[in-house]
Amino acid sequence: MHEGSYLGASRGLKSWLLTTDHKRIGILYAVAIAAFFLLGGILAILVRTELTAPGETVFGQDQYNQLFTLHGVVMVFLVIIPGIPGILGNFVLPIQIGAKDVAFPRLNLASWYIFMAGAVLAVLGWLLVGKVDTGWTFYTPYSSGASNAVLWLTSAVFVAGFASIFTGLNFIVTVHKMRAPGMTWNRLPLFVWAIYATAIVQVLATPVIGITMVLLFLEKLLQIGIFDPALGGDPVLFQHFFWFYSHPAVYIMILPAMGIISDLMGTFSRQQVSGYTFIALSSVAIAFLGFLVWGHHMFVAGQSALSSIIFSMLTFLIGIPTGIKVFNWVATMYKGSVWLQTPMLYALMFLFLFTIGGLTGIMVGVLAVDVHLHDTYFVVAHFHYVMMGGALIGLIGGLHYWWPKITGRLYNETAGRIAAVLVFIGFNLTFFTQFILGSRGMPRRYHDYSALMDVMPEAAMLNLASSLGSYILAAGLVMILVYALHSLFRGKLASANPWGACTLEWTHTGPVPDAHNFHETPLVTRGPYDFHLADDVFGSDEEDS
Amino acid sequence: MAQGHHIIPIRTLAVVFAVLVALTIITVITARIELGVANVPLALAIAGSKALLVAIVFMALKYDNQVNVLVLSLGVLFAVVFLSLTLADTELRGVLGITDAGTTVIAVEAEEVLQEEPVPVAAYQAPEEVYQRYCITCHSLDGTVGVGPSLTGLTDRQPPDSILQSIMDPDVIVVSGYTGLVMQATLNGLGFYTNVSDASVDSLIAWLGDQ
Amino acid sequence: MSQAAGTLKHYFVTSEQQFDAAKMGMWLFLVTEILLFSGMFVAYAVYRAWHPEVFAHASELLDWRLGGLNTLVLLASSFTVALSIHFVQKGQNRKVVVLLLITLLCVAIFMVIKYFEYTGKFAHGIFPGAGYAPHGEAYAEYDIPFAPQFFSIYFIMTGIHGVHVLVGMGLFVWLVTRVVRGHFSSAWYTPVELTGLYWHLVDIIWIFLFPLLYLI
Repeated sequence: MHEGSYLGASRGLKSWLLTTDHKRIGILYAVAIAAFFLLGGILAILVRTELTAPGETVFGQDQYNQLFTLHGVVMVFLVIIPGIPGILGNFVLPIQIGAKDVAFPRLNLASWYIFMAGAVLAVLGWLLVGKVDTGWTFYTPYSSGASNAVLWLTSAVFVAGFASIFTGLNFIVTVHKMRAPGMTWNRLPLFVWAIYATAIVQVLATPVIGITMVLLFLEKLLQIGIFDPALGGDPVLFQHFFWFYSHPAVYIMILPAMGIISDLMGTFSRQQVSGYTFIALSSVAIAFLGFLVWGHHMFVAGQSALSSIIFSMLTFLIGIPTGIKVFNWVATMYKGSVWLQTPMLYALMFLFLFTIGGLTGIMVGVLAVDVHLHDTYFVVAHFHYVMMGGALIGLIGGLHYWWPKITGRLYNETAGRIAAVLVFIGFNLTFFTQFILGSRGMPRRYHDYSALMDVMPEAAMLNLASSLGSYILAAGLVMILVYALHSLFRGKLASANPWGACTLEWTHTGPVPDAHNFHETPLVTRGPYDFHLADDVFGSDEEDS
Repeated sequence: MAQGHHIIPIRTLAVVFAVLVALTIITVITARIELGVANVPLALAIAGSKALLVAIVFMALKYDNQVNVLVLSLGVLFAVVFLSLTLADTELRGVLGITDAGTTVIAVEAEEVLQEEPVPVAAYQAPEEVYQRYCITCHSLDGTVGVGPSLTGLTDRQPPDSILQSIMDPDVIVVSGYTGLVMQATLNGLGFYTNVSDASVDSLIAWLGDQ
Repeated sequence: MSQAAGTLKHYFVTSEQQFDAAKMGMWLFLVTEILLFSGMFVAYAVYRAWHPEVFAHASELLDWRLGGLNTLVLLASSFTVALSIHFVQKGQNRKVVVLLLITLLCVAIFMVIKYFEYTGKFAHGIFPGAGYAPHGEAYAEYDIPFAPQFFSIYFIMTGIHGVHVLVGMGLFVWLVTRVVRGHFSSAWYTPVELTGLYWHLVDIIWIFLFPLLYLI
């Protein structure tokens, strides 16, 4: 292990559980989220296994409903939403702006504990009470009429929400107040911009899911009659409350991934990221527009016709800043010299999968189309392309990119590339088939589709292909886990800047950062992707060490 | 002085407090007077001014870093967005065609035009004609069995209502020995259900009784 | 100055930066509070817009005198908190203690009044949710559809606001003990300032709750 690094600064479990070092907190998140991802992944495999053939194969209807509900809740609330901000935001953001830590380190640690408390509540609820089959959206009246386990899950979401709020709050203040001298707003790495935009959404949207869960909890406990139609309440009102948070939450999931991709595009194209200002501001634009489109989840829920039209049109607007980003990434590669290392493979994968996810998003955002595709596998495929193909692939790419900085070691590049190919093939086989299934009308959330076989005989073949794809995807992910563990113990020691990147975490820290990040506060004189000056930077860095 | 911040004079604080108390009394009084629709906006306006006073002076936003003003404004803005877009649905739910322009209006106009246009009613056709055109291929009147059973003495076997059902929805009862689905498909293909008026069908049933 | 230096965390460069960061953090937290309450205001607005006559009728059951008194009490507490910040900035800590104690008294009065309001409602079967069964003179006539929604919203809004008041109460007690132990000076008084901001927001929310629930 490298001398004097944050990893060796103090030892023992206690030094980790009580740490206020943002880097160690990032690793705490990484460990927890990896565990939840494993759980969510196993659930997904179980769901796909049930669907390999028509008819009841492994699970009954109730079990199946619980499986996909838990898969959704775990993946959305415990993996994707906290994923990039929790792990990489914590580890990288303060170093990238030249700060010694976040603005409120103790609050940062508290956020992790709150997040874990939320997770424990969810798992406890599942183990003790069991049986939540509402889907991850908890729509009333399913939820107001469901078992008491819903109370546990809603409390879990409420508690985990606070972790999200505090993390976002911490990052906003950190970016505003803790930047190193010379780190002006237009020198912030694009990852910082993305996390900053995400943090705004977290702070503004998450309280609403908090109060929604409180109201749902009271609805169930006291029958207050706000959402439950049996008591004169309005179930569609619940959907407004839910989506006011949950649609922006989609941007909590995707924006940080876009930030990672921007950094990867710059570093691995060895090129000033084209349209820096546009990418930075489009993150903020997406954050704000994201608040105005929640109603497009409710086209068929019985909201007013005018609302549907307004929400549909606002939804198209989101495509503009997203498109700006995609074009600029492509332009960066076009002008640069692309270095196809594993992180860059994931960046390209993101570009491909997210574009499909985004375009199909526009399709289902069209009022007239959505009425037909709503609640079919088309929608399932769409949001997996965005959430997994976008957010999770971004996270995996980012983890590969910053792995040497986090652990001080390199992973096996060949293994990395093979795993990336497996993930890509597996993912597309799993979810592209679902686009076809959905467009032909296969509804989501059924464990047994034998009734469909009369009108759609190809459903069996397509579902089998999709399930096989999910196994390939799982194999790729397991492979990543294996070579990551190998690298942790046996990997080659990394240099301070193995990728030749130009942001502060690579240029101004050792192979593994110190406990306080920098020997002395960096003085920033360049933009984050100033590659024509890279040689000077690396030269001076070698003198230091 | 590490925190060389503006110290708000006691006098300013006291004046603001007095105004807040006064506004509270005013809002109570005005709420007790019947002002019709004006009651609610007035009460909200007074509450809004009180909140602003507290924010600007007590919370010292006037002397504070502008970024905090921005933070508060954003919070309020999004609360308003949440409120107004939700009300845009709940208040207008079930009301169609409320826009002044665009597709909804066109749809409504189209609907009105359709309603003005009388629904075309098929002309009355004599039962013999109907029988010759649509029935004779399968159903004889002389007892011979064709694709379908003969219609001789039909009214002895079936009451008129049941005959009507057998014509309009032939597959509900299928006489044993004959194939279902054929009649409806044939009649559909010939355009029976769209081209023959109700009156014609009624007279056809009556006419069959005489055969 | 030495005190200010003692409170400067290692990851900040100046205490000015530290104070600004803390304050901005507090403002962001207040914004999350605003959005938390906005959900309840939306529920109120939707149901009020759907059933204006029921809401107008049901709100007559709430005593505007008690609500008005509570408004004044809270405004007074906001005033004393603002004054306490004035004096802590001048380093007059004895006055700060007195003002914070007066604040605590106001908070206590507020909660006592709230207690009587709640128990008065409960005694006549006005409960949130399914327990709603008004009985007794002048109460039975409120057993109408959507009146339960009004009272549910009333109890939730004032209840969650009440929780915030209790939290504020705890914070003031904590502040008093710290002022007495001489933790604050004109150079460093961040906790007083931040608690003040929190308390003013609690006051602002009540400023809206009072007319919406009691008056109109």
